[in-house]
Amino acid sequence: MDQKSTANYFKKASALFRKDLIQHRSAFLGLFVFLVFTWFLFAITSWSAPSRISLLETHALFMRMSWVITAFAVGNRLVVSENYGRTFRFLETLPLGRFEIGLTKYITGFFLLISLALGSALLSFLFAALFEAIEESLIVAILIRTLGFCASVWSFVFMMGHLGKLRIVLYVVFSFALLILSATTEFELLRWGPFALVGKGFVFDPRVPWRELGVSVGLAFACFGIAAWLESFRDGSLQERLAQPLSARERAMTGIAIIALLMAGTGLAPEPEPDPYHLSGPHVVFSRRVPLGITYGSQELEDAAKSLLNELEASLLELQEAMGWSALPSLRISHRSSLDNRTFEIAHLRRGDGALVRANLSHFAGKAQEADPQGLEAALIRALFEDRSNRRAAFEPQAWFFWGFPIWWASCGPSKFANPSEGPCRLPLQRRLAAQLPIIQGRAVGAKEFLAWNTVLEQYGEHTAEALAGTAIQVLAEKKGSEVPILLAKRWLAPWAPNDSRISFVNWLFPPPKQIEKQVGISIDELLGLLREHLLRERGEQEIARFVSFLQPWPLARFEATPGPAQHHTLAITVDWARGLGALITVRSLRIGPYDMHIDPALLQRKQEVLEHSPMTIPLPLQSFAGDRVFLAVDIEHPKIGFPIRIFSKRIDIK
Amino acid sequence: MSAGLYRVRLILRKWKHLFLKEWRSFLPSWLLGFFILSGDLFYRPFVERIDENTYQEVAALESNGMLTISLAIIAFFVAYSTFLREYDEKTIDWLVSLPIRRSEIFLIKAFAGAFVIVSLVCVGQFTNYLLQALNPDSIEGKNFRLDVVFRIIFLQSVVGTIFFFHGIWASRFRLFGLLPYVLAASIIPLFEELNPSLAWLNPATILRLEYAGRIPLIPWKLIAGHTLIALLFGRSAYERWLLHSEKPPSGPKRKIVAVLATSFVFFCSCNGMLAWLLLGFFKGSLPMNDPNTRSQPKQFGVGTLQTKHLRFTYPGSFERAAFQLAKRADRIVEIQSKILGIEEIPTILVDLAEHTHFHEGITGGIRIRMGINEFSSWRLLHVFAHESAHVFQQQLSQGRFDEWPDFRPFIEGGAEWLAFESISMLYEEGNSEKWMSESEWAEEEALRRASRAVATLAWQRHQIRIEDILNVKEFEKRYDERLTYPLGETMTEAIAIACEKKGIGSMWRVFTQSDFPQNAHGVLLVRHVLQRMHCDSERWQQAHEKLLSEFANKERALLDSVPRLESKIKDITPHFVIVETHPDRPSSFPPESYALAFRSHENAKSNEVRSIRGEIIQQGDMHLVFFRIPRNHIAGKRFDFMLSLFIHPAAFPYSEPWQAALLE
Repeated sequence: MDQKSTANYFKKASALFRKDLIQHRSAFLGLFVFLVFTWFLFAITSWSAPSRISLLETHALFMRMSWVITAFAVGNRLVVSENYGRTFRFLETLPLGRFEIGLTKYITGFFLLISLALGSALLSFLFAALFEAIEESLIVAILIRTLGFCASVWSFVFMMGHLGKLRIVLYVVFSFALLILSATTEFELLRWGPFALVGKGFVFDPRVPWRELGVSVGLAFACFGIAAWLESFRDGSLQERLAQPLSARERAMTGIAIIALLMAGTGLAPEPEPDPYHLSGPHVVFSRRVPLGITYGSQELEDAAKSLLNELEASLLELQEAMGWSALPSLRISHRSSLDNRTFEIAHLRRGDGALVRANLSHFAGKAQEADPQGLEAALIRALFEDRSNRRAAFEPQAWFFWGFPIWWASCGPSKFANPSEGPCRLPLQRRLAAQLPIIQGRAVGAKEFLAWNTVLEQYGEHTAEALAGTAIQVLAEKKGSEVPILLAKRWLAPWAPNDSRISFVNWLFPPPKQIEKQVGISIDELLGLLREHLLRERGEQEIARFVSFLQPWPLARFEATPGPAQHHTLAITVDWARGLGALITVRSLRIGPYDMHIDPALLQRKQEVLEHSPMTIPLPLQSFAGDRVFLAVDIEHPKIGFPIRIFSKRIDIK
Repeated sequence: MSAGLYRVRLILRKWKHLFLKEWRSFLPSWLLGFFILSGDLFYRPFVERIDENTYQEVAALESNGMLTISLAIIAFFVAYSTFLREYDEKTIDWLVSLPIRRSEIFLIKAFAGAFVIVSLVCVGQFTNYLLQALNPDSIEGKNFRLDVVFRIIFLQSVVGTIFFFHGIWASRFRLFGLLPYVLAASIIPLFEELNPSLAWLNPATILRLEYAGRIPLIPWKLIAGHTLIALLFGRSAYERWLLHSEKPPSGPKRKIVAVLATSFVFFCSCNGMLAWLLLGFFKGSLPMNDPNTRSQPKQFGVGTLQTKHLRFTYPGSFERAAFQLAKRADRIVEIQSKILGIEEIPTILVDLAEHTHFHEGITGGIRIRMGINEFSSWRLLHVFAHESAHVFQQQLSQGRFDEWPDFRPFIEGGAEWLAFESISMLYEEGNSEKWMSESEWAEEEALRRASRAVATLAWQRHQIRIEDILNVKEFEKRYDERLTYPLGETMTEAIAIACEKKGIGSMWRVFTQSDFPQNAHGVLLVRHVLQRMHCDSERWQQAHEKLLSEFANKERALLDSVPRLESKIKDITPHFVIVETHPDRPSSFPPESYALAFRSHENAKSNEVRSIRGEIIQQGDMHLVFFRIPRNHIAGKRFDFMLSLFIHPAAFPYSEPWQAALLE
């Protein structure tokens, strides 16, 4: 443009600028008051926030929140309402080109917004300078970031304003698309372009992120270019249509489409996984025949680890063959000195990453009777099935089998039980004793109880429940042949369950009890009847008879809640077992609720006392009050028993 | 048929037709609301096994923040479709010309809108039922109970309807009507933070479920208050929409005056209230006798000091202390960078003019803020070393290290460990007189010993596992969040033992790898990080166990001298809740060592936790400690409290687990 036309343009543009200011003065005035108020609010917030690092955070909050809202409001006023109010037709009659009109509006909006932004920056600098030193480089960096952010956001809003009723839809679509990309790919929204400029380091970092600044400026130019192109559309049906507001139906359908898009994005997109876990270090031994490794922590346990490895290799190979697997997943055992000889901890691994079981290997190095090799092997096999089945093996209707099969395999698997002529295979003595406990207590173990296996685990403890389930498998094998449990394991425990509800519907239509009857020709009730007969028959053995006799009469535990002040109750357990003086009583308690969940044994508060007299009352460390729900379990250990037995277990509502 | 009955029938028929007309026009909004609240019915069967769902997971009862936002969106959407649509589509003239009173029009429209919300809530709970109905679990599969569900429906309906009435009022100002609510959403949480008893200001508090046993409590007073406010807004909306609708839109002058007047009133009232709170005129608004409170007088006159790697700003009256710190801080930074394998040390900005009482130091980017006036020179150095460690953590991880909350034990504990290590190396460097005196070194050793004691006590007494600490959200519900410092320090030490000290720096660099699993959490996250460092997580855990058990063996006497703190609610008066605590063994710790922390609910943030000191009453060899919790600091009927014992004045305390309590 030559000098005269430039001067002419500036004259016309300034008239248009004044027109916009006057036309929208009430809205701009209201926005200004709103912004002053919010700046003050953010200043107070920054001042009083415990996590404040600098008072310059006032400016950061202002730019991220109030200023962005203002940008949308200004865009709405300068562009959208012009088209919606159809005053644009009037503007078109003026002696100004469409581009010049658009450019003037762009400059008007940019001028307003940048004034507000710089005003906030200046006020924030002054406010912060009263209490802290501010470096010049930081001031320059903040100002550059502010300018870049203003340019990119205003350009984007300006462009979107030209899209009329589609803009709201597109705002939402862009937002969700960016969020989904950020969640599912390596794209990091908060470290990109304009978001990075006002991100974490906005008012702390004296370095300017030139790359992000370049992206923001590029975005500003691109948006302005698109806006200029949209400006070039002549008046007509497109403009008319875009200028009309969305109808309620259109709004609702847009919302539904966006939510569907979001669901599809979050449901289907793959996520990066952590690395598979590998044992490493100096104290690790690996099997050559199966993917099993043992980390034993110190040189003294090396022999025990190698011996354990040899024992497990054969059994695992047979299991692999029995299940028809081409390979086993990675299996690991790790030494943990804090565990006792009966506790095996199954670690949480990434799905499909095999199994990791922790045990105290020093018990395997010492006297043989301290160790429980079958228990360790059973825990490992359970973890293996959990992994192979994608965490489906422990599904409650089949959970009794999930607990029983591994201990049966560890005790009676082909590598363990080589000589059928010696009679049927039986579980180790301690487990046979434990299996007697429900009957000793006089409790029925029918199909209903057996299928509510998680309740059985809570009622009897894992050791007893495992023994009971293992004995049931043993009885099944005796009745129908040892290939039957293997067949059921292949059907229930081994298959990989997909992460959708197909298996849910299959299990609902064909629950495990029906399947066992169909596949094996024996119902759960019949099996449990055989189990009961077997357990009663075993009482003829000397060891078992002595055990049963020692536990009769059964130790009693009684719960008491004594009301205290202000509705708070003191809880106590009274144990009555005259025969068991000297026994170690462990009371486990936990406030639960309001919704019942599986209790992680590690969360239970534990109190231990020695039974010095009977009856003996043990106050609990747990404080409770009326209406509360608590879980209480009492275990007893006595030298004549050899393992802990649970004499009390209940979820109680305190009245 | 009598005339009266006929009239009633006519009225009912009118209402029915108007209701049906409104219902038809709300149908798109209802569909949108259905997708927001119940849309998971369509995708969950494809991405999860619904017979493993539990009611509380499906209903998202713990994440009431998202539910509140969803209800607000639906309610405002419906509200904006109630009257605004009529004006935009110019059907309002036709509507008011019908033989039906304007008050009836408003009531039917309001009823229809509320009906949309209530029906959506009911359908939402029904879909929740469907999504967990197949769960056969004998424990987790029975959580859908009608007595609970009806109460939840009631609470959600009430909140949705309250938002709806606010939305009708806001719709008069179109999109600008949302602005006060956006502001309120920012201001009200701040009020709550400063004074928890102001939680009633937030209608979403109604959805913050509290239980008596298994039954959700209904906060009747809160509901009554907010319903009244909503009805007032509804009345105002009625007047603006229907009574003044024939009047021409306000002229520009009236608009400006209205905007200015409203803004001014809002501005003054909100800021006045904030100032009132902040200046502590509101009785009991400030934490009382907070053992962590250190009041620091405001400083005037600020000096600056530049060293090789640091730039200090300090209060003028503490120049000597600042110089003494600066002398050693440079070397600390060099030692830390050597431990972490950092070649280029950034210039760190240290602001010693911190005067809030919430923390000893805080770091953002390369800026550290610390207080100076209450600390001894040794403590100042330790706090600086801790904060400078955070600067290096940020640098090595390119600012990503705090994006995983479960890594917090390594962030805070790792910083503590680096502080101890670097000060230890500073002391050992040749001529120790140059950097630290013997007494300062003794203090530092005592602090580390106390920190390890707290970690060991917590580990042994509470049976804490690594998995527990690395699930920070669940951990903080049950235990003192400050345990992440001492336990994190021992965990970092274990990494140094198992994976070599130089591995600590590479731990932070792992976060910058392009294939870092963004969604890994807890123990899976740590296992991945260690693996990338060529270390083994089992080896690390074995080393950690060994470290703590060796410490326990060595310091048995110290650990046994720390009593367990058993407590009970002694009394509830109109102004206080009195907690009685008795240590289970004679304790030699001074009276000011005992503290009690309390919070409104287990999901409270750390700055919502208050603490108070106890009063000790001697009773023979044992003593009792009483705490008086001010009731106006407790919102709701239930609260949690936790007892702590400071075994060293500068160390984090030994704490018992959080306990729940009930107010009458």
